Amino acid sequence: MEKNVIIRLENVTKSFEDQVVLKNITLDVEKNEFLTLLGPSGCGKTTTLRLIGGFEKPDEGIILHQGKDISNVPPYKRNVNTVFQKYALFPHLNVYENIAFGLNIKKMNKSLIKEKVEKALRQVNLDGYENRRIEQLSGGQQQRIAIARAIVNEPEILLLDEPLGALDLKLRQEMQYELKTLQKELGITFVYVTHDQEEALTMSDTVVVMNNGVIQQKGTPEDIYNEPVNAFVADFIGESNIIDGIMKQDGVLEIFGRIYECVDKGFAINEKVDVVVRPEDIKLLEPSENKINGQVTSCIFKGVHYETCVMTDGFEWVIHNTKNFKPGEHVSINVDPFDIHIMKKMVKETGT
Amino acid sequence: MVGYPYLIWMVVFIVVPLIMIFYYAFTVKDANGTRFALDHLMKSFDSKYMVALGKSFLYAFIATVICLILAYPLALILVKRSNGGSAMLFIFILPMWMNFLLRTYAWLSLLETNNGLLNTVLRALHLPVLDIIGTPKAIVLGMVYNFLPFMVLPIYNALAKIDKSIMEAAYDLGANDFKRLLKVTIPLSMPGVMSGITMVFMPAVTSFVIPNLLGSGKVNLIGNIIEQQFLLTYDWGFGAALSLILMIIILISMAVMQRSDEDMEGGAGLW
Ligand SMILES: Nc1ncnc2c1ncn2[C@@H]1O[C@H](COP(=O)(O)OP(=O)(O)O)[C@@H](O)[C@H]1O
Ligand SMILES: [Mg+2]
Repeated sequence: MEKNVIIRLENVTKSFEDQVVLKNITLDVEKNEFLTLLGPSGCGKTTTLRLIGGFEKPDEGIILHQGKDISNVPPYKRNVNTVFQKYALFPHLNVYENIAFGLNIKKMNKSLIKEKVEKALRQVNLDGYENRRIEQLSGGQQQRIAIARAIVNEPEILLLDEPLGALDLKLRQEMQYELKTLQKELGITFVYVTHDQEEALTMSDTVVVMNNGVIQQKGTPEDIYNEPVNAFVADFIGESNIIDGIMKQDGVLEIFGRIYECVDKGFAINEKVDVVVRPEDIKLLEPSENKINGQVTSCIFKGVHYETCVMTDGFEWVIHNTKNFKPGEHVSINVDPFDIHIMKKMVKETGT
Repeated sequence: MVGYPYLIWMVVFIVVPLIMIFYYAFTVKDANGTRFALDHLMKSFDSKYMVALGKSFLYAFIATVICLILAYPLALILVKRSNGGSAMLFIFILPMWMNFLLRTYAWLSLLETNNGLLNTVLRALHLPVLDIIGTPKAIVLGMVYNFLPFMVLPIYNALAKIDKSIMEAAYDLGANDFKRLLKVTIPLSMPGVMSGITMVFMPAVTSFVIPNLLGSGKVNLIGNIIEQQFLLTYDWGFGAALSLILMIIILISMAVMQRSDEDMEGGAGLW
């Protein structure tokens, strides 16, 4: 089981001044996987990446590369390359010289360098751009050069910090696909940072959801989407309705004073829980006596579906459906027991 | 329209003085009145003046090189400090607010052979006294001291402008501290180095106060000779001719330097 782990962060804690940015993080990165760190801005994604790259040292805990402690190895001695958030290309060098930088440092043979640079440019679809100056390139092209400059060194691990953040939507989607293809082609480990859940779900083999310097959940995109471990993950990964509930006993749930059937088990009797229901799992039907009834407050066309808001007992539900309801219409909320996800109450963050 | 104030400023402070220099340099006054002549220019090429010119360039060059050698590491240290080294930078700039003459007089009283502070201390410690007032060493020392901040500041600014992530990218690509300095930091700070060199070399090569005081008038540089033409012998025409030659040589050397800088920025020579 251990043999495939290429990087392991073990009980890593990191603070800046008085602020604890990473709290006792333990994370395994497996060889050749596309792992994404996902979380809201400021949750510690970049710091985690910088620890792997060697730009920060852990205050506590260690970083292992194939079992060896590398916590104090400087970046230039790690077989890891980074695609920086702001590209960080060398403005005094042209495209060719930028990509050749790492190979020149290694004093590689000139003709071999030329061959490798040309190959890297082909891989990012910019062949023929060797002699361009950096400031002549668009943002998207600079991004590709930054990727070429990193992969030409054939690192074991490529770190990417929100590399598509500055690009427009269309280009971003194109690049997502290209990056995924590139990762398969190169057969190396990618550690990717993003705050965009859709990007994380489309590209990754493994998604690590972070919040406030703590790993919330690690799993495949399907796992994360279908089985979020807590309300934070559920909400961050897709819009969700999160309701306070009480678990009366296994399979019996109380919300808004009504008893519902569900499939989750293993909670204490009368335990307070978070109940998560996805907007697309709710059906709106005629009001009836023993259901949650409410009134439509708004209904907006979103392209593939309508986003309908329904107010019941002071709670506003978000529902995705294909029918256009009129504001003021009376409806009832209907959810299949399988689509009711019950989660332990999140421990309230208290000034850690 | 908007350019008018600037235009007036240019005319008053640059064009008019230039015309006057040309006028005085290319005319002589005698019994028949004022006429065009190359006499002043011919006289300038006398070996006596050419030697002074050569010395001026030599001392200014040495002072500039010393300033560069001192300023670059200093600027690097200042930039590396977490607060940008602003407190240390302040200490460095502080003497610049003092009058130039006062600063130079201060050095004179420090270094004077007989009653200077330095030699008094040396004598008290039974060490050999330092007799440098009146020598080129003292002049170069004065130039380095007076003009060092003009080298530090532009280099500091150029270094501070380099994006932190570019420095990290160099590390990331395998460059250790030394290689990074050579291949990234120095090339990216070249604009600052160039303006530092200009800002030190120009006042050093034309300086006359420093050789007057610290050279105690024994070392005649081109600045002194020009000063004497205007204030002592009232030969304005000859003074103007010497100024013109000095100006042209400075312009040529600046152009050459600019060119070599551009060649370096081409990057081809970097590896
Ligand atoms: N060098 C630093 N000095 C001080 N605070 C920092 C530094 N780097 C990051 N932080 C702080 O640490 C927190 C996490 O930052 P970061 O890892 O960049 O988050 P993310 O990439 O998830 O947005 C933020 O609150 C940020 O302000
Ligand atoms: Mg970040």
